[in-house]
Amino acid sequence: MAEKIVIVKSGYNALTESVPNNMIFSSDYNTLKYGTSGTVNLNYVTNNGIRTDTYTVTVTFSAGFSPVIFAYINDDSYFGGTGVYLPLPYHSQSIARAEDFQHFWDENVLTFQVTVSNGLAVGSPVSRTAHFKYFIFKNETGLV
Amino acid sequence: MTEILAASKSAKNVLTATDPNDFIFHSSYNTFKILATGIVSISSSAGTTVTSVIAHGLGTRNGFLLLWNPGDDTNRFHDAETATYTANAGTHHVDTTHINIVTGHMDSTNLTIEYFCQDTGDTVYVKYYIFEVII
Repeated sequence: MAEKIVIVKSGYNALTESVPNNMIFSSDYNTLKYGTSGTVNLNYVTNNGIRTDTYTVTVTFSAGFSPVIFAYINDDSYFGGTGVYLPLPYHSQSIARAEDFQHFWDENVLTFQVTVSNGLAVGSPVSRTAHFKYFIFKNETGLV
Repeated sequence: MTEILAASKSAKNVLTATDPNDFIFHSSYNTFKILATGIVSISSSAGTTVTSVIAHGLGTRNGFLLLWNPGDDTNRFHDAETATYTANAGTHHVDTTHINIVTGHMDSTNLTIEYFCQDTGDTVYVKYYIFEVII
């Protein structure tokens, strides 16, 4: 029998428990290993005439492999301030335009992108800022 | 006093730290365990949604994460790019001739991954993680 380390939740027997949800930790199950995190801003323009524009900003992390990444957006142009975060990808649609916020990455660079599709010529160009928060884990996806 | 097992970060005192962010591991806080993981490849059929079904055998509906690689068709995101990319499920690529979307859903029996593409024969690679948390 292979040895292992198991820590169970209160009320459960570490020697007999088999349900992962009843364990704090078990060496039988890998976990997401936290690596690094950060924030980055992306400035973009809406109401810029009937057109589609793409804006990007990149973060170089140089892992040498494609890691698991979680990312969120806090767009103060919609919520009037910081503190509201949404998981990416995020799509916003109105009668005048659509904004697609996405993130993608390879082994070294994380890219945040917004594609603004203006369907109507409404008002004057508006400068906006998307605030992104990201978490880069040590777990390799094996996808790249 | 209840015994605990804890490993603090460098320069943090494991005996006195109270902020969970100062620990590498702490037995008072559950860990986000990965119960299953794998990579599936899905080839598109023009204008229809193609599915890949993973029978997870857990008997519960758990949290999951899907990451996908567009394979050899780098036009998923950028024209004339040569590097391949990974992205969260739900990320989509739309231009005048293509739309590509990867999504997924889970019940107590299966994790179903769906790929929609307007071309035929484009292959995407999807990495899935099934977590311990029951939803």
